[in-house]
Amino acid sequence: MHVRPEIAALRSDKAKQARLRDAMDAAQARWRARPQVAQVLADLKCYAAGAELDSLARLNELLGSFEHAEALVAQWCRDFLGPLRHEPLAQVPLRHHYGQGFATMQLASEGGAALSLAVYEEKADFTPPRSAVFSDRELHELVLAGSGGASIHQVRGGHGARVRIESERRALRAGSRLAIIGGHAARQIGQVAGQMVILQLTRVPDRPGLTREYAIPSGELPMQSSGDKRASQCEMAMAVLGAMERRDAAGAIAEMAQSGPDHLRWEALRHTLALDSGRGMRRLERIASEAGDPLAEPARRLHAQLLAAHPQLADREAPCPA
Amino acid sequence: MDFPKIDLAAIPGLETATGVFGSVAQSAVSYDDTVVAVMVYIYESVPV
Repeated sequence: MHVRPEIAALRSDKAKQARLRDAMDAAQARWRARPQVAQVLADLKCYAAGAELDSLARLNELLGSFEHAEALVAQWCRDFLGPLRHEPLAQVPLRHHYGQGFATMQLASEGGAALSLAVYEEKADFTPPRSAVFSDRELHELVLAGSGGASIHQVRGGHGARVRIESERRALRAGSRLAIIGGHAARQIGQVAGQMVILQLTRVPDRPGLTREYAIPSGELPMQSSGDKRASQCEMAMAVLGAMERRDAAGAIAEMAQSGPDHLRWEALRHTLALDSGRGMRRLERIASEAGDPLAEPARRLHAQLLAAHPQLADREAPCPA
Repeated sequence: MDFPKIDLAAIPGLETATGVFGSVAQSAVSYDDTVVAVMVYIYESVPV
């Protein structure tokens, strides 16, 4: 790997690293302290806590007014690009990403809410998407520069593996606004001319529902995933404990089979059974006997399957609470 | 009594599989603009 000499020099110069970090931290503090920014950040905090956007004057004004948004972003550029011109190797202390025609910079975040800048670049090899991702979130957007197209998709009926989707195309240019609320709506940016810059406000619920990818226009569900990163963290932790055969974790894992998203409960059940089949069977029987539990039916099927494969499980004493 | 050891791989998943957070395929999507969510997930999972 080629490392440029100025980067190699910086790697071994701790004092300069600290200086660059301080310069960028100061830039951030300066930006956040500007009155118009501080007011928006205060609103962002309320928005994260659950307030409706139209009850928050400054934030609503920002997403609704091209002039306000442009002024705030211009100020951000001045505050951060100034130090970067002197120290191009300094790192902007905000989450950012660039790759494959898409760049983003998270200007501020509070809880599940974030205010970001996103840039979509024209793609020479653009192919119209064959599917769209529906995630449980609130998204408000204002186009700041450039132009392009977007498709807005709405789930209008059906559920599970096939839904009915209505789609419409929108032409976007500076000043255009979009609002996508909840997991039954999705927007996709289509072909972009040059570059398109968008100010985005997003809010994810505390316990988000599933993220689903539906084929367009058929509405078939090729894939779904958890929309809740904490649930997935638990799922991965269970997988690790299971692979380590940590039988002492079986009790804690069995508890997770009792409540939460269905897929997480089922994984907890599988791992409990694999770690401690006696405890797992008791939990399985409890779930199978709960009328109204969405997992009752698959639990009954699994119970029958396990008894067929391991007849000795039927010889257990009467079930007791797990 | 001794309970039998049940192999995890022998216990089926639910009919509709659910991937972990951020694992939507995106293969057919023009812009991978969900990447931020994945990045946030990794940041918050790994102490830095």
